[in-house]
Amino acid sequence: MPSPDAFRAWLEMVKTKSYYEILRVSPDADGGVIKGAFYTFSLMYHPDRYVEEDGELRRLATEVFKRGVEAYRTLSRSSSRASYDAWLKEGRSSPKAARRPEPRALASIALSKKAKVCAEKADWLITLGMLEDARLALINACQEEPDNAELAERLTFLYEALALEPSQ
Amino acid sequence: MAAAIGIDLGTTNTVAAAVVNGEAFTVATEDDRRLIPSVVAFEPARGVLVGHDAVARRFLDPKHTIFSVKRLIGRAWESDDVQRARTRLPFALSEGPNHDVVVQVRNESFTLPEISAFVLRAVRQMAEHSLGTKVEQAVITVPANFNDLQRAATKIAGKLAGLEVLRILNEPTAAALAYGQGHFLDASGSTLNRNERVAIYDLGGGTFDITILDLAGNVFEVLSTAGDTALGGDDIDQLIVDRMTTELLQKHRVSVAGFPSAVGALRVAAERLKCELSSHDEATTDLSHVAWGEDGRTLPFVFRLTREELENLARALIDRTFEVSTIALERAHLRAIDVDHVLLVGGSTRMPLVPRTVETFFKRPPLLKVHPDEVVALGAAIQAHVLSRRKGKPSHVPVPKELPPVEEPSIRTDSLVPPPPSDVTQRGSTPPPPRIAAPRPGSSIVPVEDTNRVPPVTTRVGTEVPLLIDVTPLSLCVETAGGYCDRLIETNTQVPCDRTRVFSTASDHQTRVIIRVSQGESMQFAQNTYLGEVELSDLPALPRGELRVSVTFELDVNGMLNVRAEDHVAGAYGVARLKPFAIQADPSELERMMQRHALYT
Repeated sequence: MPSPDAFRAWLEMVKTKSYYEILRVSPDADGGVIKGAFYTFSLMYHPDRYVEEDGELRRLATEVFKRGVEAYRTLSRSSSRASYDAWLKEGRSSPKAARRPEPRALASIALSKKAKVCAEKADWLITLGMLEDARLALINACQEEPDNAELAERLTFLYEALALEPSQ
Repeated sequence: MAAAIGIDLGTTNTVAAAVVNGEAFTVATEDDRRLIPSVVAFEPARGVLVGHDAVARRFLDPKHTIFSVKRLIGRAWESDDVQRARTRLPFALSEGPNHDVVVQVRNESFTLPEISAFVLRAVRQMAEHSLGTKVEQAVITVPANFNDLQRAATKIAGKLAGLEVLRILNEPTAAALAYGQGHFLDASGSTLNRNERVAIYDLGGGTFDITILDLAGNVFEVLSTAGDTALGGDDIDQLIVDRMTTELLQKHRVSVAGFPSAVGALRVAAERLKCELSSHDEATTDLSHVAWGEDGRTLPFVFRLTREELENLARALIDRTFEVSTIALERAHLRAIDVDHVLLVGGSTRMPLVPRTVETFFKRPPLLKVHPDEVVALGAAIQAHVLSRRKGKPSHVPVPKELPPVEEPSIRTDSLVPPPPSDVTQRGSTPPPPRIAAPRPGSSIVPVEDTNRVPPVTTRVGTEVPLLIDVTPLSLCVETAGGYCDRLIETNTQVPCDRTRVFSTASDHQTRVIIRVSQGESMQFAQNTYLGEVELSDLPALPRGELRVSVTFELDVNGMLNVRAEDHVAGAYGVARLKPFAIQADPSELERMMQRHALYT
C-alpha cells in the first residue's frame, strides 16, 4: 500500500534533483531512452494509476507526475535540452536555479548597434525600477535582433518580474 | 451496482457505450438504434423530446427544436462563430448574463449546457434501460481542440444530467483507446507488436481533429493534436443547401431564406443526399413540398446531385483538414510518412473523397477497422470502466526503491542510474521497476532506507487497459502589460501539468492584483480565447515589489485549468479562483438549473 508520506518525501527531494535524475536516465541518454523512461515513470505515477486510492494519494501522485512531465518536456526537445545541459554543467541542478542566469547587462548581450542602444536604455530603466518601460525598450531591442535567443530569454524574465497593474 | 458509461456527445449524434463482463459495446434503444440525434424539441407544457422524436419536430416547430448546440457551447456571445450561427439557426439565441449564449424557447431561456443535459439525460435513461442498472458516472468525450470553457460547459451538462463526470476525454484519444484495445487483444490473444504510430483523422458533424499517438505497449502517448472546432459534415450540408436555394431561386424565383422550416427541410434533404452519394454516383431528391407558389400550390422541384459535384463542393473543406493535419505533424516533428496507420473516425469520413485524399496525404490507405460512429463511445466506455474501479482489486507490486540520494548536487548521475530498458517496443505485461543502483566503491553514495523511497507502483488497472497520456491542444497565456501573451503552458504539453509564476505588486500598498488568462496560439492576448481572470485580493499593503505571490496554473487530467496562489511574505495560502468567462458555473445557479431540469419530462 503506497503511503502518502512516501510521495511527500519524494516531492520534497525532487526539488534538488536534475531532470535526468527524475526520469532515471543518464545524461547522455538518447531520445528513445528518455521516452521509455517517461513511460515507466508514467506507469508509476500517472494519477489514473491511482483511481482506486483515496483523493489525497491521487493528488500527490498528480504532483509527482507533473514533475515528470516537466522533465520529459525539457529533455525530449533538443533545443531545451541543450540549454538545460548548459546550466547543469555550471553545477545548477535545480531547475529553478537553472532558469535564473546571472544578471548580465542587456547592452552586452545585444550585438548590433541599434539593439545595443535599446538594450542600454532597458538596463538603465531597470536600475530605476521602471520595469514596464524597460520591457518596451527590450522589446525594441529584440525586434532589432530577432534571432538573439539570450535577449529573448531576458525579455521572458522581465515579463516574469513585471508586476501587473491593478485593475482600474 | 451502478454502471459507468462512455458518451460521445456529438454535434449531430450522440452514442453511449458500456463495458460489461470485460467487453465494450454501444447501447441501443429498444428499436435497436445506436445513434441518438443530438436534437432537443420543446413541446408546450414543459415536455421535451430528444433524439429521433425531436428530429421530426425540426420541420413542424423549427423555433423550438434545438440542434448543433456543440458548435456554440462554451463560446462567448461576441465570438464570430456565435454571431454567424445566429443567422443560420432557426431558433432564437440571445446573450446570457455572463457573456454566454442562451436559447430562447417558449418564454424561457436555457443555457447551452442545459440543452446538452437533456440529450445526456435521455442517453443515460436509455443506457439504464438497456443495462438494467442505474448509471451515475460517465466519461464524456469532446473534440481534442476544445478549450477550457468548452470542456467546463460540457462537464456542467453532465452534472445537470445527474452524472458524475469521471473524465472529459478527447475524442481521438478515445478512438485510439478502443482501436488499440480491439486491435491488440483480438488476434488470438497473443501479444502483437504493440508498437504503432497512428493518426486519428476525426471528421464529425461539426468538428475536425487530428491526433497522432504512439501506441507503445501499455502506454498510449498523444504526440500532438490539432483541430478546427468549426469544420465538419454540417458545413458540407450547408454547401448543398446553398446550392438548392440557388436552384430554387433560378427555377421558381422563390427564396426560402426567411422560412426556417423550409431551410430545415432542405438541410435534412441535403444530409440524406450526401449520405446517399457515399455509395452512389448520383442521387436525386424531390423537394416539391418545400416551397409554395403564390396560388398556394407546391412548386415542383427535383434536386439532382452527382458525387463529382458534391466532391467539388466539399473539396475546399476537406483540404482544410490537411492544413490542420500538417500542423499536427509539425508539432510532433514528424512527416506524414512516419505514421504507421491512419484511422478514420466520424460519420463524415464515409464520403469516398475522404479516404481518397487521406491516402494521398499520408501516402497510405487508411485502416477501415473501426466503426466511425461508435469507436469514440467505445473508447470512452473503456476509460469509464477503468476510472470507476473501486478498491478490492489485487494488491500492489513490490515497492521500488528511491535512487540513492546524491550528496553533492553537482555530482553527475550517469554512473549511478542504470538506464531503463532502451527498447520501448518490447514491453511485457509489467513495467520494469526502476532498479536501485549498487553503490560503487569509492563513490560518495549511500543507499538510504525507507524514508526516501519512491511512491510504490500500483498494479496495472485492469492488466489489459493501457495508460493514456494526453496533451493540451492549446497554449495557456496570461496577459502582460501592452496586450501581449506570456505563454505559461505550451500547446501539446502532457496533462496534468503545471507552471508557477511569481507576481509582485507594481505600486506601493497595492492590495489587489488581477491576472487575465487566455488560451490560444497568438502572441496577441486579444486574439486568443479569453478564459477569465484570477483576482488576488486582500494582499498585505507593502511597498511595491516586496510582496511576491506565486500563482500556479494547473491543467488537470481533463485538460481543464485550476489556479492556486501563495503569498511569499505573509505565508498566506489562498486559492485564487478563475472567474470564468462565458459559462455559468456559479453553484447556486447550477442548483437552480438542476431544479428546472427536473420539471421537464
